[in-house]
Amino acid sequence: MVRVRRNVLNLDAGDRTLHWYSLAVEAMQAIPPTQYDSWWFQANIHGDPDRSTFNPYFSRCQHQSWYFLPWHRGYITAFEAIVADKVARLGGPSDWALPYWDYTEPLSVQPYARYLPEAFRAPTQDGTRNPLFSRRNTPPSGKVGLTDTQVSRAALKEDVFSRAGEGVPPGFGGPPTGFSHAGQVSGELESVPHNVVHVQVGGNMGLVELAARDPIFWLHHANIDRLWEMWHQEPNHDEPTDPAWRSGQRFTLHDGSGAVFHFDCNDMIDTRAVLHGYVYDDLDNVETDEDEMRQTVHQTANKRLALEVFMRDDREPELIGTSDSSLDLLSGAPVATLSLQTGRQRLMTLKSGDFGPPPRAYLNLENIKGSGQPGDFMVYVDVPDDDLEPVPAGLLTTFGLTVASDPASEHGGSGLTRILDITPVAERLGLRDGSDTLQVSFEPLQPERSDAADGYIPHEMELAMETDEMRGAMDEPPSITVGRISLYIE
Amino acid sequence: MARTDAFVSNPVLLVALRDVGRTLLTRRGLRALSPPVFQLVVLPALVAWAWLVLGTTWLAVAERMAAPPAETPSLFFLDATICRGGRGPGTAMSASPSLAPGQWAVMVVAMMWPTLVPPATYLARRSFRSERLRAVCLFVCAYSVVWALAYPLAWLVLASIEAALSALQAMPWAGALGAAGAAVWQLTPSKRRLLRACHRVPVMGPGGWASDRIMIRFGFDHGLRCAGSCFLLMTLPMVGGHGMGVMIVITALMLAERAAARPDLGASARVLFALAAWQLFSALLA
Repeated sequence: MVRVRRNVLNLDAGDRTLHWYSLAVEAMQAIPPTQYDSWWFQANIHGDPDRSTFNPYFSRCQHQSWYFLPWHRGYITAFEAIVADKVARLGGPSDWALPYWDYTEPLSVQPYARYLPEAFRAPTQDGTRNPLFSRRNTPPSGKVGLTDTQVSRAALKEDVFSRAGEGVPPGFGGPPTGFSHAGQVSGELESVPHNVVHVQVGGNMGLVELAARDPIFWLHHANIDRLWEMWHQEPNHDEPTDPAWRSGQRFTLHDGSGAVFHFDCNDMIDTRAVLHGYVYDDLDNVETDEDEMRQTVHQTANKRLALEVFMRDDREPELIGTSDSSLDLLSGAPVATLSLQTGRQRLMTLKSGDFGPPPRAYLNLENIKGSGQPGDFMVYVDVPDDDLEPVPAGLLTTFGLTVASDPASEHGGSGLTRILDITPVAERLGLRDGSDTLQVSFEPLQPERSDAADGYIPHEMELAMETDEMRGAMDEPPSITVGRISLYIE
Repeated sequence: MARTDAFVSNPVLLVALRDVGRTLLTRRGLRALSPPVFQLVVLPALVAWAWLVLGTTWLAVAERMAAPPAETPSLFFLDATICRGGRGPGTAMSASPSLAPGQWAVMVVAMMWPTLVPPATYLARRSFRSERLRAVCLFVCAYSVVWALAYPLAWLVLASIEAALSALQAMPWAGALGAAGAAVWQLTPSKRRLLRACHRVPVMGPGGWASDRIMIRFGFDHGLRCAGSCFLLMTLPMVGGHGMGVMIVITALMLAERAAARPDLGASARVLFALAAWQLFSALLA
């Protein structure tokens, strides 16, 4: 029996989906973390803050990788199966399905799209601890500070699922990797809106190791999964055929009955075939004029790029300019100046080329390292000494920053790398042959408020598991530096 | 006991090794490498392997011809060739350890340089086109300096091991002891920490002399981490006598664990214990 995942903000007044979810979460939170159906076990699969205890299921989540979307599909569906099993045992319906929180919905259609659903907002309900509340950077009204750009669906216009290579945008789903709990470059959907929502909700959601402890995490990821399904249904959008993606990596979780369930990416393409099977109630991609960033993102040029990538494997992007020192993004007005070597390179006119497809320009923010939760940033580019204002180039999101900066992590603390296709922006700036400087500046986009602890009542199981390291992670002062900013031309 | 990330259903090392094989041993994989990486890293490594294979074959054939044919069963000869570079347990061991500087250099190039392909590719792609050759060259040279400095240490280690084992009449078991020691090292937290650090990439520079300094520094640091992680694995073939089979297994192991972001060190330890068992078996055969 295929289940139907529905928009949490459109549920009927008498709908009991969240009521049963709350009861199931409460039951799961009382189970010790050694059992598969414990809330804490399920959360630790995403990230285990206490690394001294070893469990082969913990810290397996895939990020900065082409496995990001399929792994999370398996993860939330297994979670849905476990919760549905709890709901059925508690006397609820047998077809319970995880709802999704669609913050990308235009405000003209749903004015409360960027508010947490009501059931999640209060620390207590009827005088007792609300299981759906968590540590967050959101005020009691539930409003999450999200602009149109931050919840843009621009990623859905990216035709290529995955692309390898240094300096180039990694595609809709992320770059080819092996097993990747923490990496460097996030795919387009992973960056916006996935990472942004994590950062702007903040608190537990702001840290990889604690994010899945927040009950809103699962509704957030249901929406990300839905956005993948919306991308998938476009006629020219296909998942990679490379066997390294399809069957190159197997993952292991538990299903609703506690049986171990193995899957690879091939098993995750059809939502009706994942465990109990599910569909979404609404996959319409409603487009409005509200999203400026969506309009500046490549459209037909992107289709041409996909064809070029297929036809010419050896078309390699080339570095043409870099900044000369690292940049602290929390220091006043952070600005970097890139010296460009356009004079010595091949023709770089960023308008329609006479021969073949026009060149594309990619801004790379390399080795982004830091601590705490410094928030997100809007990135602006400008050619100095002209009459044109700096133009927004894209978002820098910092979810996963602390893990990526940790020298003990899988990439030795090399930090994150954010790659922005600035071709349309460069055209507006008049970047061309002879331009020898590019300025890059950053504007912080802070969450609604910074104090994540107000009113939160920790569960006794949580207190028993808490370590100094975890407490420290929440209170760590924010810092963020970009190692180098570079410009690539392809 | 250190953590291992092993799932029996997911042989991480084999998957990593298959990916490495696709990169280094197929035309498509080699074409995908940045040009200076192929010329400066992969090609010399292939040449070094050719040298090792020819040299080992030559030694084995020479020994075979020197020994009376009737007394040496062919199966034993094969095992000696694969396992111990032609040295059967009945062969007298030379007084000094078998580690000439040239041998060490060839081993480093053949066995360690292939692990440089990922960082060298990163450096090449994130440098200006005109500086790629320079960047990779400086990186590889600085890296190799560390291994060159490790040579006296390796010589000392080998000398003391061989002296101790000779005194105990236990030289035939040298290979087995070396493999077992390397296996135990695989399971320590230090090995894990150093291996993860091997995936670190530097903050690249703006070109010119500033970038050169970064390449040299990174090459040196990477060499230290790498040598720390793989030193015991590199001394193993020497203790056993430069057996071809041992060198191939060790190289494959190092490549696989370097390629995977979350290597299955428990599996690599098991492989080394199996190697130790094989060495022990062939020592007992004598």
